[in-house]
Amino acid sequence: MNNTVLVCDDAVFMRTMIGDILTQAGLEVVGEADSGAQAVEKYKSLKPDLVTMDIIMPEMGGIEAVREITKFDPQARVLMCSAMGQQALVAEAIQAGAKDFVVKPFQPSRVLEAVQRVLG
Amino acid sequence: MNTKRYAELFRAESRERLAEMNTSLLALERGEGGERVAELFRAVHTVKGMAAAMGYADVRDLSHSLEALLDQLRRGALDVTPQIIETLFDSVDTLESAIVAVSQPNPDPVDVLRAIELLEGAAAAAVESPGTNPTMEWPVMRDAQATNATAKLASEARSSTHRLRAAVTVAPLNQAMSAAEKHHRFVRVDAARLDTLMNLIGELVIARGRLQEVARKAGNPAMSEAVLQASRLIGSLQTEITTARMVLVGQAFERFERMVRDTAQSLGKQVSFEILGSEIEVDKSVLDEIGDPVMHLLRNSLDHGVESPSERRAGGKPIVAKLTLSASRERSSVVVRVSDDGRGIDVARVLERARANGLVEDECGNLSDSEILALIARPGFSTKSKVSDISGRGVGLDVVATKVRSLGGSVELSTDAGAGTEIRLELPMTLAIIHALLARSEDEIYALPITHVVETLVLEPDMVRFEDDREVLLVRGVTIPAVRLRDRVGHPRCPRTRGHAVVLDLPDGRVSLLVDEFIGQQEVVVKNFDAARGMPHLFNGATILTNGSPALILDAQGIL
Repeated sequence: MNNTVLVCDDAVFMRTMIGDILTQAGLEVVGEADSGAQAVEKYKSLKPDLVTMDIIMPEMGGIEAVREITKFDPQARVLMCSAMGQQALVAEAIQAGAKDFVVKPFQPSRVLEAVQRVLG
Repeated sequence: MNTKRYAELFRAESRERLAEMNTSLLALERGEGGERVAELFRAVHTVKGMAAAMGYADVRDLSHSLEALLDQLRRGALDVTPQIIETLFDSVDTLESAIVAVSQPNPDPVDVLRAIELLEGAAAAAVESPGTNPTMEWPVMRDAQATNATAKLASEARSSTHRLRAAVTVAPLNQAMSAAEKHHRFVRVDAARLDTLMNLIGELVIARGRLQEVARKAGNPAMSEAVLQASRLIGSLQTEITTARMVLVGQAFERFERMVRDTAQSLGKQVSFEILGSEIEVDKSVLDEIGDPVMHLLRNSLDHGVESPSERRAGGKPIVAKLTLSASRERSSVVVRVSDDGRGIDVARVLERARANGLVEDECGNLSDSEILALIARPGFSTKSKVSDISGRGVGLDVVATKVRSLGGSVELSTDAGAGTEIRLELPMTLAIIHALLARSEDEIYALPITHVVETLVLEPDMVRFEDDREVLLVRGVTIPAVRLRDRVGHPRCPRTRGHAVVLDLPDGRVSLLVDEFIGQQEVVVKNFDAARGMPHLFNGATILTNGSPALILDAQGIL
């Protein structure tokens, strides 16, 4: 069975791109969320194997969402997607329970390595 | 990677974000703080991320500098001053140009560096607060090192929690929004797909008409019952799809805020601009078409209507003028109003100009509002002696009037010397389905939109006459130029002068159209239609009648 993924980003562009990279690697994108609040809600209903999480999102930021998701499922595997210049935020996200991170702009190979590590 | 598809997504999404940036900036300028800066930051951040992914260096670098400045505003290291807002507006404009440039084969050069320098200059003014500046020093991680780096980051984070708090002021929760959004889930649909659906529904409505006819003739009760049920469902489907194509007026009006602000500034006028009725829903096709006319009207108001601050002061008016753009639903129409509290239209000058052009009799002393409109909406009519680059050569109103009428709408004007002007546009809710008169010429049926129709008449033998070698129609003692549909569509003239006539009210005056017969009035579904090259412009669409035969939709202005 393919691993399932929930892709969280407020930009359709980014969701499409991440979705494409992961789908080509054989993962199954089972859901998308465009805000932190939606990410938490969808995690609860979809229980995906992996979540990719943007940091800056409206309504509830990615870090807060990681915290909520980890509270609900301590085993949750969340991969943070950060932009350059967000080291402090990445650190906070990892404290909040994220397993690893990738830096935008994405290179498919790097994203996949990170995914392997997280699912490992 | 499918570059073309991503480029398309980039274009669409960055346009949305630019609109958000302008809205947030305008709110910021009005003195709203907090969440507005955060919104602006998110929008810029998203554009930066997309641009980086696409390899658009200019867009990426500029949005990075913008983001850095916004970050300082967000953290309170810098105050939101008018200069800062101006810098932000300026760089958002440059960002827009840079975004436009990436999708063009030979773009005009965009001076991104100048904008970046401006932003950096503004940011440098910030009080330096070491340790809380999450900018460019973040190295691009090699993923082999990433896990180590993560561990390092985590331990670093534990030792400097104060620093994290300072940096994490991301997006305060907006409770009200989140509650509202839970009930409304949206999907993005290509507008062209909705148009196709609308088209299909149009065909289905036509097919329904034929089915009903067949069922009536067959006289089979079970069949009639089934047809009736299907008919009802098709009716509901039509309503649903029309509704799905509805968009909020606010979406189209938002962009005018920026235009009004910039125009007023360049004219040295002070204006408070208000948009009312943003929540009204209108068919997308209508909204797409009225953007330019509304822009013309706003520019006209700012340029001709609104006085300079000193003139207003002298006239005992508040220095800040009021300009309002409103939308409302009235019966089955949408009414858009542009009103200002400016100087109103100078009737004496309109008269003077009209006399000079020989448009009115010399002894004519006063004009009603509708007469003023009829005059100033004539092509090339302007009371302004100097041509400005704001509203051009007075081509504003005639273009607006022609456009609105071509959409099946109407224009009204009311003006009060010294107190202001209001222009009212009444538009149909949708352009996809129109009311038309069906006219027969020989054995062909043509549809004539009822927009301009004043009345229809049964021709009496002595009603059509010749005057100066031209045919005219005599209606209750008034002669109206006459045009024969037969001549226009290439049918031989009918020896009899029997038939029907319709009187049309066009921007250039009344005209009558003589046809063999009017066979009824019906709602028709407009299908766009590209006329063959070189063909005279007689038609602006085609439709299928309920009996299944096609009919061309006459363009009243083209045919006359």
